[in-house]
Amino acid sequence: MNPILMTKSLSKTYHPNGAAVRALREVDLALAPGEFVTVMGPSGCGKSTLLHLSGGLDRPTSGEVYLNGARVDTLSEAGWAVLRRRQVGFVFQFFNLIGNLTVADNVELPALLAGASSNEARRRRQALLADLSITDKADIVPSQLSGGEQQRVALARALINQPAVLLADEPTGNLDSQSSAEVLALLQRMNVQGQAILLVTHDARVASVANRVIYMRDGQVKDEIRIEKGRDPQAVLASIVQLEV
Amino acid sequence: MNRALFHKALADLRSHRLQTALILLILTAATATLALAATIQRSMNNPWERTFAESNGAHLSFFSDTAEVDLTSISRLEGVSATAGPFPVVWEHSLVKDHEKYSLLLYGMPSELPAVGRPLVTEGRWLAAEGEDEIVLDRSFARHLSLKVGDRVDILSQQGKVTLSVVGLAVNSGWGLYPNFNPALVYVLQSTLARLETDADKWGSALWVRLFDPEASQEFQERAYALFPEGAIEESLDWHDIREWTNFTIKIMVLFLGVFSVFALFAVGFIVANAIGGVVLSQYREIGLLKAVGFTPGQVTLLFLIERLGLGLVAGVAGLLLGTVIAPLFLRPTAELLNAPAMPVYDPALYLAVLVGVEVIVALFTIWPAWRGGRIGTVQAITVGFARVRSKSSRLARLATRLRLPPVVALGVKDAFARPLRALLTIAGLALTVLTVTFSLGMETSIQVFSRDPALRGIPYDMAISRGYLSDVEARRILEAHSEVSAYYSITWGYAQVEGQTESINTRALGGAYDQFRIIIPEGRMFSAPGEAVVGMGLLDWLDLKVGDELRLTMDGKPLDLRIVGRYVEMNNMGQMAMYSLETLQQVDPQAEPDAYALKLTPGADAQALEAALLRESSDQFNVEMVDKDPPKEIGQVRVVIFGLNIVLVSIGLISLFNTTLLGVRERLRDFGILKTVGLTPRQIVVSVMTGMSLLALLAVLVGIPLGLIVTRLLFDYLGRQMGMGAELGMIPPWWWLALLAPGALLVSILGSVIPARQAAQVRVVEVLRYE
Amino acid sequence: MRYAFLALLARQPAHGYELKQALENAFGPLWPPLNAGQIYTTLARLERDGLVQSHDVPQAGRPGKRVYELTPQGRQALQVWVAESTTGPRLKDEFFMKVILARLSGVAQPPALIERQRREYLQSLRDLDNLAASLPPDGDPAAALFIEGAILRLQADLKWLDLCEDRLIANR
Repeated sequence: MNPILMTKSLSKTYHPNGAAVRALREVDLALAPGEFVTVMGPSGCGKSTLLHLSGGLDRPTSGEVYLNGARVDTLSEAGWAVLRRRQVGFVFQFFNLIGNLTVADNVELPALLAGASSNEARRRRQALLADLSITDKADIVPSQLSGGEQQRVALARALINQPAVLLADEPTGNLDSQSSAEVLALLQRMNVQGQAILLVTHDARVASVANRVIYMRDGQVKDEIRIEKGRDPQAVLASIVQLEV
Repeated sequence: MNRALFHKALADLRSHRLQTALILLILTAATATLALAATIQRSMNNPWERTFAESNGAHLSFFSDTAEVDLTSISRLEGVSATAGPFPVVWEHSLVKDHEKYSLLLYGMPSELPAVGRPLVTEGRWLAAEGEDEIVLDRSFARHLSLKVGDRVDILSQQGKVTLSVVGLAVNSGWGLYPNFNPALVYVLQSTLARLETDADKWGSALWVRLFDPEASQEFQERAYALFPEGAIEESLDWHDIREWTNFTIKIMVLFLGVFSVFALFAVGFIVANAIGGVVLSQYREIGLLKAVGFTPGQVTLLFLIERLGLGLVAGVAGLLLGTVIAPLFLRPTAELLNAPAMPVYDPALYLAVLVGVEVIVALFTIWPAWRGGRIGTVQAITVGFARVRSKSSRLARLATRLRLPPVVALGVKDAFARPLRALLTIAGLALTVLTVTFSLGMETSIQVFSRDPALRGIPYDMAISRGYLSDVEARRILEAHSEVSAYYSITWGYAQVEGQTESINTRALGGAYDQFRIIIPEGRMFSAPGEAVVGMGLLDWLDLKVGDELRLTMDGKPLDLRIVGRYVEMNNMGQMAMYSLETLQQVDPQAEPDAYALKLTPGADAQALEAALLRESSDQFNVEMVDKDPPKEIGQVRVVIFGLNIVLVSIGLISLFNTTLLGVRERLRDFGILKTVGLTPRQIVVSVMTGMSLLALLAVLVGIPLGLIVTRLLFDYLGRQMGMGAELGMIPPWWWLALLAPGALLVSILGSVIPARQAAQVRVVEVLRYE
Repeated sequence: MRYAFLALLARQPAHGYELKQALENAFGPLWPPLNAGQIYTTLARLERDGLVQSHDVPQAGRPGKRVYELTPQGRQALQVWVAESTTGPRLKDEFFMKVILARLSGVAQPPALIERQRREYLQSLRDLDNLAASLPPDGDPAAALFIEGAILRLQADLKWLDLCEDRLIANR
C-alpha cells in the first residue's frame, strides 16, 4: 500500500549568521495509511524541522517529500496552502488558535476555506466538538479555556477536513499531566479510527503511544522501534516490579 | 535611571526604524498643515484693517472734478490728524488692452510715497523721480487683466494714445477691489499726468484725510462739504464703507477657507492621535518586559513620552520649516483675494503655538495608552500567548459569516476592527478628509454652475447696452436692426427712499419683453400688473418684510406704493433692490425713459462682432457690457489653494492608513502564521488585510459624503443670505463626481495597505510560531 | 515479603489464606499471584525468628486452621524497618555491568546494547500506560501511583541511555 507521507533523502541546512547548521541530513521516512508514528529525540535533533518540511511550512534544501503519492516539496507557498486545507492537519505545542474567533469559528475555518458550505462546516464542527467532549465551549473565545480544552479545539480544527495526515508538534508540551494523558488518549482513539498521525516529541512517554518510534539525533535517524500493542501485563510487572520487602 | 531611560529610548527608536520614520512623516506633515492652516486663518483675520494700518490709511478721501476747488482747506478743519495731497486726478482716460477699454482713475503722484494712505507696493517698485514713462497699477486691476510688472500698456485719452511701462503693482486701502470697485486705480508722476491730459481744466483733485477720531468721519464729512459750494466736492469715500465693501467681497472666500481649515485641522488631529496612540498600544509586550527589568509604570510612561515628544520636536521643527517653504504658494493667492499684502510668513508666536499644540496632542495620546499598558500585569504581558487583542469574539466576523461572505473577507473585517478605537479614529480621520473633498467639489460645482449660467446670478441677459446720449428711439432702432438680437427689454434705473428709513435703495424698472427672459424668482412670482414688484433677499432681510407685504417708497418726493409679489436673485447692492414694470414707474414719473437695454442673442451669434457693430452704429455712444461666462479670476486663486490643501489632506490620509495597517499587521504576525498553517495562501492574506482597510475607507466615504454635502448646503445657504442673494446657492456636485469618491477612497486604501499586506503574506510560519 | 506479612499482621491476627487475600487487595494486579508454598515458607521463617507466633484454631469437621499473630519483637522489627530511611534510587546495575564489560571484552558493541535496551524501555512504557489505563478509576491509588513511579523512572532511564550513548561512543 502506498505510504500517505514519504520523504526521500530530505535535508535542511540553515545559515544563521553565516555558519551552516545542518538540521536534517538525508532523512527517509514513510508513514503508512492509518499508522501512528512518533519522532523522538533530544532538543536540536531535527524532529521539528522534519515535521515542518512534511507539512510544507518550510522548504527543504534537498530531497523529496510525497503526500499521497504526489510530489509536494516543489509546490509554491500558495500550492501548499491549498494542499494543507484538505490533506494536512496541524496541532502545535502552543495551541495556536486565533484569539478573537470563537471556538466554533476557529474549528470551522479550514472547512470554509476548503469550500464547504457554512451548513456543512457547522455540521462537521458540531460532530467533532461532541466527539471531543467540548460542545458546551463552542461560543467561547480560546483565552477562556484551559490548556487541555484549547488543545482539543486545535485537534478539532486539524481534523475537520478529515486530512490524510495529522502532524503534531509536541502537542502535550504545554499541558499538565492529566490533560496530557487525555490528549494522548484522544490521539490514539483517532488513530484507531483510521487517522494517520506523525507526532514529534522529546518526551519518551508521549512517544511510546505510537505504533512506531523513530529515534533521531543530530539530524539523522538513528533507530526505528516498533511498539507492540499489548504484552502480558503480569510479565511486564514481573520485569519491573521489585518489591523486596 | 534617567540615562538608562534615554538610552533605551534611542535604542527603541533605532530598532523600529520604519515605525519611527512613519511617525516622523505624519507629524511633520501634520505640523506643516497646521502651520499652514493657522497662517491662512491669521491672514484672513481683518485683512482690510491690517492693510489700512500698514499703509497709515486715510479715513476719508475727497474728490473734486475741477482743479479750481482747493481741497486744502479741508485739511485745516478740526479733527484732522494728517493729510496727503491734494493730488491731481483725471477720470476720463482708459487703458486699452485687446480692443477693450477699461476706465481709469489716474492719480498724479510724487516719487516719494505719501505719509497718509500710502499705496502698498507688493510687486515691483514705486515710480522713480525720472519715471516719466512709468505707471503703477492697482494690483486687483492688474490681476484682472493679467498685467505684470514690466508690461507696456496703452493709455487712451482724447489726445491720443500714450504707452507707459508698468513698474509696480500696489494695494490701496482707500479703494476697493476691481472690477467691483470702478474705475481702476493707477498712478503716474504728475509730469506724466500733464503729458496725458494737457488740458488742465480736465484735472480734478483728491485729498486723503486722516482723523483723530475715526468714528467721527460722518460728521467730519458734513463739515467738509459745508466749506464748499454745492457740487464742488464730487465724491467722498468713508473708510467704513470701504471696509464693508471690501470685506463683503471677500466674505465668500473667508468663509470657505475658514471652514476648510477647520475641517482640515480636525482631520489632521484625528490622524495624529491615531498614529501616536496606535504605536503605543501595539507595544504592550515591550511594556511588560520593561517592567520585568525594573521600570516602574511611571518610568515606562516617561520613556514613551521622551521618545514621542522627541520625535514630535524633530518633526515639528521640520514641519514648520516645510510650512514656511510652502506657505507663499498658498498665501499669495489668498492675500490677493483679500486685497492685502502677503502676510509675513515668519511669525514666532504662531509657530510656537503650533509646536506646542502638536506636542500636546502627542503627549496626550502617548500618556493614555502608555498608562493603560503599564497597568496590565507584567507577567500577563510577557507570558507566551498573551492575547494582546481584546479577548472578545468578533461579532463582525460572525456577521460576515452569516452573510455568507468568504472566510477571507470575514477575517479581514474582524482584524480591521480588532481594536475598535483605532478603527474608529481611522474612519474619523478619513471621513473628515472625504468631507473636505466633497465640500471642495461642491464649491467647485457651484462656481462652475454659477459662472456658466448668469441667470443664476441675477443676470438673465447676454449683453447689456447703455444708450449714452442717443435717444431711446434711436437706440431701439439700432438694436432692432440686428437679427442676432432675438429679444430685449429696457431697464430704467432709479433711486428711491424707503419710508421710515434714512437710506435709499436702487430700483430698476423693466419695460418690454422681459417675460421672455429667464429672471429667476425663487419665491413668489414675477410682477405682472402695475404696483407689483419683486425684491432681493437683502431688502426683505433689511426691512424685515416677506413676500406679500407692502413696500412704501418715495421717489423724487412722490409716493410709490408697491406690493411685493416675489423675490428675485440680486447680487448687486447686497440684494437691497426692488424691480417693477416701467408702467409702475411711469405712474410717478410719466417721463421716465429707459437707460439701458438687456439683450438676448440668438444661439451661435457672434457677440464680438455685434458689439463692434453696435459701437460703430452708435458712434461709440453705446456702452456695451458683455456677460462673462467664465469664473472670475479671483476664484481661480481660491481653487488653487483648496486644491493644494486637498492634496495635502489626502496624502496625510494615505500615510495614516499605511501606518494603521502596518501596526495591525505587526500585532498579528502570529495569527497570519497560524492562518497559513490552516491553509490560507499568501494572496488570500493580502486580500484579507486589504479588504479590512477598504471597509474602513468605504465607511469613511459613507459617512463623509453626506456630511460634506450637508456642510456645503449649510455654508452656501448662510453665504447666500449674507450676500442678500437668497438661499439657493448651494450646488450639490454631480452624482458621478461623488460616485468617484468611493473608488478613489478604495484606491487610497489599497495603496496605503498594500505594502503591509505583503509583509503579512510573507511571514515565515516557522519563525513566528517558534517564538512567542 | 517478610515486612509485608508483618505489616498485615500488625492490624490483626490472620491465617495464611487471609494474608494472601489481603496482599492481593493491597497491591492489586501488581502483585504476582502467590502460591501457598511461598506463603507458608515465609511465615515459618518469621516464626523461627520469633517475629510471629501461631496457634491452631479447631474447626468442626475440618482440619484446624493455623492463625498467625505478631510478637512484640515482630512489632518492634516492623517499626524499626519503617523508621529506617530507604536508600536512594537503585541503578540498573546489571545493564551497566553489561555495557562496561562488553566494551572491555569486545564481545558486544555498546551502541547495539543501548539500542536494544531503549527498545525494551519504550515497549515497557507502552505496556505500563496500558496497564494504568486499565485500572478502575476510583480504585485504590496505590496501584496508579506505583505505575506512575515506574514510568517516571523509565523516562529517566531513557535519558540516561542518551547520556551513555553520548559519552561512551564519543570517547572511543
